[in-house]
Amino acid sequence: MNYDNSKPIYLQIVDLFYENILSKKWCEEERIPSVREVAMMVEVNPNTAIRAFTYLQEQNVIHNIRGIGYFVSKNGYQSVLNIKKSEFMKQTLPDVFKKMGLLHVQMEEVTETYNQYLKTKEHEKK
Amino acid sequence: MNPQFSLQRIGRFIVRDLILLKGSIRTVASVIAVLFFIGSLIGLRGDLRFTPEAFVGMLRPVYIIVGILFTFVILKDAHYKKANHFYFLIPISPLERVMAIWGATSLLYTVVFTLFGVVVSQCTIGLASFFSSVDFHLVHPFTESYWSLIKFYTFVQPAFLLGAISFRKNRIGKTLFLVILSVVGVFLFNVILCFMFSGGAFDLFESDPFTTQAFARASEEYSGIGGLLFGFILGPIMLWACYHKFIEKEV
Amino acid sequence: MIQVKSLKFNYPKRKTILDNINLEFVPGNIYGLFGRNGEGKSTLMKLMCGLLFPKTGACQIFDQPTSARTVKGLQDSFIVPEDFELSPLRIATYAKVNGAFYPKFSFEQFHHLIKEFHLDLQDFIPTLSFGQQKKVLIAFGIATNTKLLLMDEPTNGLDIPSKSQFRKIIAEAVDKGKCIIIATHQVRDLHSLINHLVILDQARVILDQSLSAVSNTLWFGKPPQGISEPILFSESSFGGKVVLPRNERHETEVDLELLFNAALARPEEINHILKTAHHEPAV
Repeated sequence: MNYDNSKPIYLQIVDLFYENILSKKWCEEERIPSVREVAMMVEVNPNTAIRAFTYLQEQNVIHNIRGIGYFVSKNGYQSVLNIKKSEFMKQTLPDVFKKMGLLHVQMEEVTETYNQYLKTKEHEKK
Repeated sequence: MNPQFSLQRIGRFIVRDLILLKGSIRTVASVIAVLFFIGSLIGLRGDLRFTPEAFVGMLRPVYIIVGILFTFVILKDAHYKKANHFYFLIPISPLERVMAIWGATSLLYTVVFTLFGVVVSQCTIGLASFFSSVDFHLVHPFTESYWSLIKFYTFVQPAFLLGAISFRKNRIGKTLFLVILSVVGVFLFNVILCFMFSGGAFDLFESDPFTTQAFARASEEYSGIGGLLFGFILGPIMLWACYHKFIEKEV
Repeated sequence: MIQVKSLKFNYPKRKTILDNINLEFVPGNIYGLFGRNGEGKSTLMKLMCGLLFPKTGACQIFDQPTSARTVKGLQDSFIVPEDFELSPLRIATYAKVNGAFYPKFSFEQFHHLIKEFHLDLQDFIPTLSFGQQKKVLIAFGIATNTKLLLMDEPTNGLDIPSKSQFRKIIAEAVDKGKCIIIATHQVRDLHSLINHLVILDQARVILDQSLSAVSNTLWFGKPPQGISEPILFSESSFGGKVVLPRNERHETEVDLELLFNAALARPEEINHILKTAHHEPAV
């Protein structure tokens, strides 16, 4: 894993989980790797991995079945979607808006680029 | 089981040391085999019998020299900067360590060496009986001169063991020097004692300077005490000193 | 598990290299022992496993002085030194001959680690490079399953993929009963593994903190605009990173290099802020 220097590692592990859940690599009610496996996978101290697991449990994204392991919660996908969406709205977009202001980018230009993007996507699918 | 003393650990340590020296042991053993073969052939000359004296005569120089070399080689890791940390941290107590090293270089060594000597000379006799007029006969190793050789080695070897642990560089040279120095010292002490008891009746340089009466008396009358001193006190003291060296040794 | 109390040490006829060192190491952690070159990291490691004896003070493992080198103490500690040479044996023979002395040694585990490091049990040790020999010793050290595992510059001599393997293996090896202490100046290689930091400087311990305590109290990063409080430490290298009291800011990952330099430059201030904040409940 490539670490972002500023963000705490445990939150970066959380992001990795979110990504796996959003991309359906890990489906709801499916078992996910253990703390130790995750620690090995991302090469971190297991204590850090535990912190990520605890955080995700608090967010109701995963849950623990004693003696068996951790599973993606029933509504895990939806939870992650909500979390990431609000993160996008509250953090990513304001950043983009700020940049737009700095660079004098008009909303129309953005819409145009967005439509173009959709077209290429469509094209790729065909 | 006493956590600080276990025969099993001693055994494992001996096995470890021997496996580490496997290559050297193999080489030295083949050289010795050749020497013994030649020695046995020489012993068979003349009366066509390999006498017990010839056997001990063949054993003696090789036994002492190889034994002392073995004593120094077995402890080489203790002084090698890149290996001694692990050597001193192997979970074994100092007492077990001394027992293991002494067991390997003294007891085990003597048994194996004797056996080896017997086997090689027996084989030589067997071979010779095929190709020459030598009659097949058995080697009798256990004679008085054999036992005195073993005694000598057993009593002197701990001094070399101590030297092998104590000195960092030029270990064999320093130890030999000290051993010779102390033998000369003890001998001179005997001479002086003898000289004093006889009230200066002898002239030290009376006749032959090397075999004065004092020297003769000294080696006769005090050899018993000297032997006792060397055998039953000096050996254990040396081993005890080794034990303390192992306790104190820092890396 | 292992305690260092008012320990003082110097090599014969040299100045004091460790002075009044007080430390305690508990299982379940990976400690990072940092310090400039020649500041006594390796010496402290040797004292902790009983290869050197303290001049004054004590160093104890399970309430026994490490210098006593009791069988029980030795069976539960292992050191991977910075520089060493292994016996000229095959890897498998090496492990069997030496593993016999450690009650919890597992040959299967050793085999697994050797495979993980892309070595073969039949490899003859003298034909291996130094880095490969280091892997053998690290694998052996882990497979002894001692409660205390000391490693002096373990990533020195390892190539880049091996460093990653090393981190995986250590992440796998640590558990509640095990205490791992790593002395290094290769901060970047190991920062994701370490959860407690000890910094030595000028013969003393200048910082002894868990990383969670550090990340609760200090903030690391590029200086935000319009800060009111004084900057604890700043570095003018690319990007100009600073250390600040965290206060209400988001938690940041501890920048070990920056913290190390900050602690060397301003030990009193850093310790003061960590100690005063330490009483607050952890977030």
